[in-house]
Amino acid sequence: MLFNSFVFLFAFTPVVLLVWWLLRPPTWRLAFLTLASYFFLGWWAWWFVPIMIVSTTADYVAGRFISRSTSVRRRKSILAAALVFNVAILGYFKYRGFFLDSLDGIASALGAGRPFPALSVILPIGISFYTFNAMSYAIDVYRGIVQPAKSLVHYTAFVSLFPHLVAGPIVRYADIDHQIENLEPRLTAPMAASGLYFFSCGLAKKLLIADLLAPHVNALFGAPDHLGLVSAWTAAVGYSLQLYFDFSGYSDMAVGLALLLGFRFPQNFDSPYKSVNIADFWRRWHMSLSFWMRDYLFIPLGGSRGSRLMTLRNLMATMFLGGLWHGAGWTFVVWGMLHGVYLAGHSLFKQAHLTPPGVWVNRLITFVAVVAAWVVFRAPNLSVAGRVLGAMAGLHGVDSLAHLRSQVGIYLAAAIVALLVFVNTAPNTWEITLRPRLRYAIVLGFMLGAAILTITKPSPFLYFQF
Amino acid sequence: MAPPEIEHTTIETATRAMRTPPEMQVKPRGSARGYVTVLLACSLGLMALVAAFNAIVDPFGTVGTGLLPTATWSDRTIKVNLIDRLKTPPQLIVLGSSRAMKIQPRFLRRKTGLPGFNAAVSAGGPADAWAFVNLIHDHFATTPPHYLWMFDVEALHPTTLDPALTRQPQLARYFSSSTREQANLRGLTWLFSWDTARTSWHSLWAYLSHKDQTQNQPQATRTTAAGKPHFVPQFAPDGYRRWDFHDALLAKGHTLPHELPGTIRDYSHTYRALYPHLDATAEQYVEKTLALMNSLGATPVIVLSPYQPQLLAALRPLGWDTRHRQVLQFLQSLQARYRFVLLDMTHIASFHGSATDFYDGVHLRLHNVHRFLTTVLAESGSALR
Repeated sequence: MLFNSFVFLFAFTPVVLLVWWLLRPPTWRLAFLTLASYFFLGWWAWWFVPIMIVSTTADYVAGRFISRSTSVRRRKSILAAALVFNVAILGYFKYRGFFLDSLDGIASALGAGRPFPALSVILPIGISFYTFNAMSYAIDVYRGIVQPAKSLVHYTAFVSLFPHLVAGPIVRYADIDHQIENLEPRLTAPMAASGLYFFSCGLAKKLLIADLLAPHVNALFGAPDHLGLVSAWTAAVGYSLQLYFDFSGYSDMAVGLALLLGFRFPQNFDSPYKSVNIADFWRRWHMSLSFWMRDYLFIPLGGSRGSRLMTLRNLMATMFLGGLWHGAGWTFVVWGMLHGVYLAGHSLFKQAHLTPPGVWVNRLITFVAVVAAWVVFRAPNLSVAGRVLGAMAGLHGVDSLAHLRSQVGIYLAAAIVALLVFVNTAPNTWEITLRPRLRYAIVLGFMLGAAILTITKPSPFLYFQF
Repeated sequence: MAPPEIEHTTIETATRAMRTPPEMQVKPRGSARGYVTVLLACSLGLMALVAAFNAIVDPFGTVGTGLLPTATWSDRTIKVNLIDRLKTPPQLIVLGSSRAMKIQPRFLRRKTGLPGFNAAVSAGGPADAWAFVNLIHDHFATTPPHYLWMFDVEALHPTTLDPALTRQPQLARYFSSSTREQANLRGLTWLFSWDTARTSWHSLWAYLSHKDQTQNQPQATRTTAAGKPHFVPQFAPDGYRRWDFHDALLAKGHTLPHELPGTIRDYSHTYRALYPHLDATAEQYVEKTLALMNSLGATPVIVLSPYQPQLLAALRPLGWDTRHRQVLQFLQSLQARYRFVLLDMTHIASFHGSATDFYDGVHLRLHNVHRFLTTVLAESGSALR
C-alpha cells in the first residue's frame, strides 16, 4: 500500500487513526498498531508478513537473552547470532539474485554459456530498513544503551510501525522506547496540525514535484547516446532534484503520519544541497542512515582513532557497505565507493589546507560531486553511467538548439532552475515555524487536495526499491 | 549571520543532531483546531469540486449521468458488437493488445483458408483474452477454433482489470463479482483526477462549441451513456482496425522519429516503476485461457510481440532482459501442462522485419505485419492450418 494511494489515504489511515485514538489500554493499542502495520505490509504480498514476524521475534528473543546474560562471551555470541541472522535474511532476499547474476555474467564472459537461471526474487518491501532497525536494537541492548523492550508487543509495534516501515527513517529503539512505553493519551490539535503539515508537504513534494520531473528525467536517461553537454546535465540535475523531493517527501509523510499517531520521528533531511562539503552532505542527506553507518560500522571499524590510512580504509569500507545497502547492483557499489573516495579526498584536502575559500564555491563543488555520483546511482548499469558522465564532461559535444528544444524544453529547464534556487535558498520543512494562520491552512489545504488529485497511477517512492 | 561551518570533521565527530519534529506554536493567538479544520475543508472541498465536475461531464462514462456524449470509446464494446454480427463462425481468432490490431484476418485467410476474427483490444491483457475466448466459444460453440495470441512482454505487469472490460456486460459475466467491483471502484477513483478534469474540460468545450470531438480522429466513435455504441466503419467486420490514431498521426506528419521518444518515455516508466515482477493474477488468466483453448481442441500459437530496435535498446538496461526471460520461462513452464506453440519474435530479425516500418516503438505498420505473419505461419507448423 503506497502512501500516495486512495486506499491508504481514504480507508486505511482514517480507520487506523480512529481505532488507535479510541482504544485505551496501551497494550491493546500497540497490538492493534502492529496488526494494522502487518496489514499495510501484507497489502503488497501476504508472505512479507511471516518474514517480518520471524525476524522480529528472533531479535526480540536475542535482546532478552543479551540483557539477562552476565557472561560477556555469551552476550557476544547471542549478538553475533542475531546479526548473522539479520544479515542472512537480507542476503537471501536482496543479494542472492545479484550474486547469481554476477556469477552468470562471469561464466558467460568465460564462454561457459549462461548456467544460472534468471531468479525472480521479489525483495520484501522495507526489509533493508527493518533489518537495520532490528540490528541497531540488538547492538544497543548489548551496549547497554537501551533496555530491552518491555514486551514482544512493544517491540513488534516499534519494528512494524507503518509510517517508517518501508522506507525509513531508520528509527532506533532508543529514539522511541519512551514514546512507546508512554503513549500519548489523546491527539492534541497542535500535534494534528503539525502532522498534517508534514504529511501535506511530503505528499506535495512527491506528487507535485518529483513525479512531474520523473518522466522527463527517465526519457533523458533512456537515451544516453543522444545526450549532449546541456541535456546530460539536465538529466543529472533533474534526477538529483527528483530523488531529493521524492525521498524527503516520503520522510516528511512518515514524520507527519507518526505525529498523527502521537510519535515523534527524527529528522531525515536537512537541506542536503546546501552542504558545504561532502562530510556535511552526509550529515544532511538520509541522516538516519548515515548516523546508523557511523555508529554501527565506521566507529566499530576503528573510526578515525587510528592512523590516517586506517581512517581512509574505514571510510571506504563504510561507504562500500552503504552503497551495497542501497541496492544489489554494481552501480550502487560504485556509487558508494565514489562517496568513499570523496570523503577520503575531502579529509586529505582539509588536512593539507587545500579546500577553496568561500561558502558558495564549496557548495558548488559539493553539489557537482554529488550530482555526478547520482548519475551512477540512477543509471541502470555502469555503461550507461559512463556514457552520461561522458556527455556531462562534453565528450559528446554540445546539444544543438533544436535538440535542446525537443529533449529538454523550456518548461523543464525553467523548472530545474527554479527548484535549484528553491533548494539553495528556501528553508526546509523542519525550519519553518508552524503558526495557526488561516492563510497557511488554506494554502496547505489546497496543496494537499491538488496533490491527491494527481494520484491516477501507482507511483512508488524511489527508495522503496532498497 | 555566521557562515556555515566548513571546518574539518569526520563522520565520527559529526555533531549535527537529528531533531524531533516541531509542534505548532498556538500562542499568542490562533487555534490549531481551526487550522486543522480549514486545512481539511480546503483539501476535501477542492477534491469534491473536481469530482463533481468530472461526474457531471462524465467523459469516460463511468458514472452514467449521460448529460454529454462521452469523449472516449471502447473497442471492447465494438468488438463484442462485431462478434454479434458475424455471419460466418470465425475459425482463427487473433488475440492481444493494440499491437495486434493491424493483423488482418483477410490476409490470414488467404494464407490458411481459415475465416478469422481480430479480437485484439487496446491495452488487452490476459484477462481480455480469457473473456473473448469464452465469448466467441459461447457464440460459435460447434466451430473448432485456432488461436493466434500476440503476447506482449508487458502483458504480465501488475495491474487491476480495465473498467472498460468489466463494464461491458457481455464480457463482464466471465469475471467474479468481486473482480468486477474492484475494477469499477478503480473507475470511480478516476473522478478524483486532474487528468480526468482535463478531458472533462475538453469534452465540455467541444460540446458547448458544437464541435465533434472525434472529427480529427477518424478511428473514434462514441458510446452513449446508455451504453449503445455508434458503430464504426473504421473497423472491418472481421475486427481489423483499418484506420486508427496512428494513421491519423502519420497523416499529420508524425513519423516514427517523432513518436519514438514518447514510447521510450512511457515504456521506461513501466520498466522502472510498474513492472517489478510478473503478476500472479495475470499468470492465472494465461493459464486459465490456455486450459480453455486446449479443452476446445485448439493448439494456440503464442507469439511474443516485436519491438522497434531503438526502444528495445533503451529498455534492456532497465530490466527488460530479465522480464523477457521470466515471461519466456513462465510460458515454457506451461508447455509441460498445456499444448501450444511458443514463438519469440521480440527481435525484428526473427521475422526479417524493418526497423523503420513501425508507427512508434511497438506498433507495426502493415508491411511489417505481413512479414511477421508470414514467419509466424511458417514456424507454427500445423497449429494455424
